[in-house]
Amino acid sequence: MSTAVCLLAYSMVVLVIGPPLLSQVTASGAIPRLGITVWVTSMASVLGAWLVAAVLFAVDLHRAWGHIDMLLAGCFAALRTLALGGYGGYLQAGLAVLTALTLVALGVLGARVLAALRRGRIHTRRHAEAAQLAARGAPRGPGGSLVVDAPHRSVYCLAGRPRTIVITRPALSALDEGQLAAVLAHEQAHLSGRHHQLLALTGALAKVLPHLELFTQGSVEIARLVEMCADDVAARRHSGDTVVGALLALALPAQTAPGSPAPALGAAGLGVADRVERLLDPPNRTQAWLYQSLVLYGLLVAPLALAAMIITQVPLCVTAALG
Amino acid sequence: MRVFGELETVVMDQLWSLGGTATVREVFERLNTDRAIAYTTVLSTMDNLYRKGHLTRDRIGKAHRYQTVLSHAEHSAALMREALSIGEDSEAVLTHFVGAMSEDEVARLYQVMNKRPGSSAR
Repeated sequence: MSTAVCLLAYSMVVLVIGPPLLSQVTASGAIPRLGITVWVTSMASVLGAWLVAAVLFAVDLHRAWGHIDMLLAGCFAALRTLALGGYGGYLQAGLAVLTALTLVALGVLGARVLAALRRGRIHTRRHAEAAQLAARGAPRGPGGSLVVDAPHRSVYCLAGRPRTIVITRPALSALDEGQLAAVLAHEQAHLSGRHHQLLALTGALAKVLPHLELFTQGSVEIARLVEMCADDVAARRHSGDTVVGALLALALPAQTAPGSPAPALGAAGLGVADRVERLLDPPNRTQAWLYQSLVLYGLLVAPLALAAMIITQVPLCVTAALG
Repeated sequence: MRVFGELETVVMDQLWSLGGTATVREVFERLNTDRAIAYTTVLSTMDNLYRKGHLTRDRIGKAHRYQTVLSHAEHSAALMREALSIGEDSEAVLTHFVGAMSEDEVARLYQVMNKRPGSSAR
């Protein structure tokens, strides 16, 4: 019981201090892969804490069924007198309802995430089909890409089978050969790094839990970091300057192209300036490594310490109160 | 379901080059000149496209006359709109090399470029 309460408290702490702290330590994008790990770990630790807490509630309730005074012996010793005073039945019923609600809530959450993932897959496949139609069965462009006539300069890719890279004709003519190769390397890095699966999952969580910044802000930050990861792959194979050239070739003139007003922002537009900046002037890796590692260890050690306490049966509330 | 790919693309392409409207026979005759294909294959492909909402059809005598719902340009425009406005009606998961940028961000991009000695924004 007390363990479950402590886990919930842990998740609250991560939910509150996580977003600002994580945004700060991952801001520079020095080691984007580590930054992604930090965000994903924090999300997973919160979800994991909820799940384990719900299971512990259920187990405790089952074990203590009929012995309500024992159930309450932990954190809620004060309530024992109340329970012994004849309210045990009500409390027990209340706890049973609470447990049931928690489990139902988690079930609904899981189902919604799965539904969102499924919608994402269907929409992605439909979009890929529409892109094939738009390319009109014309011969594939460089790197097996689909070349589409459209007023914007745009390059994007979709996962799934078949993997699809779409390049608009204006984008194709804006890039020189080296830049085009860098762009394709960038998109290939997304595809082989399974970035879309990650984005689909964090996007689904953000949609299902729209009031929790850890998930909404986290999905935006992860999208930004994923772009930086792919930039790094492209920059290693071609050069940082080539990637910057490609970013500028596609970013700047698009604003002035006649008849194509820049659509107001999706998450997609985030961080182009940041990406250019870090390619031109790589941020301090050591510092980023240090801070991100510290946060990561903090995230991992706290629940592990809790688990250790469960196993060793340390009276938890005392420990938690002292800690 | 999986095999949307080639054939539906080819049929749509033919329809678009026929001005957006044709019967199954007309499409079949054009396709049959450069590939061995069965009439019934074209028929079922166009029926699929109809059911997916890419085509409408009117009954004329014993046959159907199909029309594309969107012209090719409209179709491409709709595709790009969907690609650029993630999170609205479509939940397609895609990554843009450069997404749509706000004015603030363009301004910041110029700032970043100007900070760098010996280079300037193009």
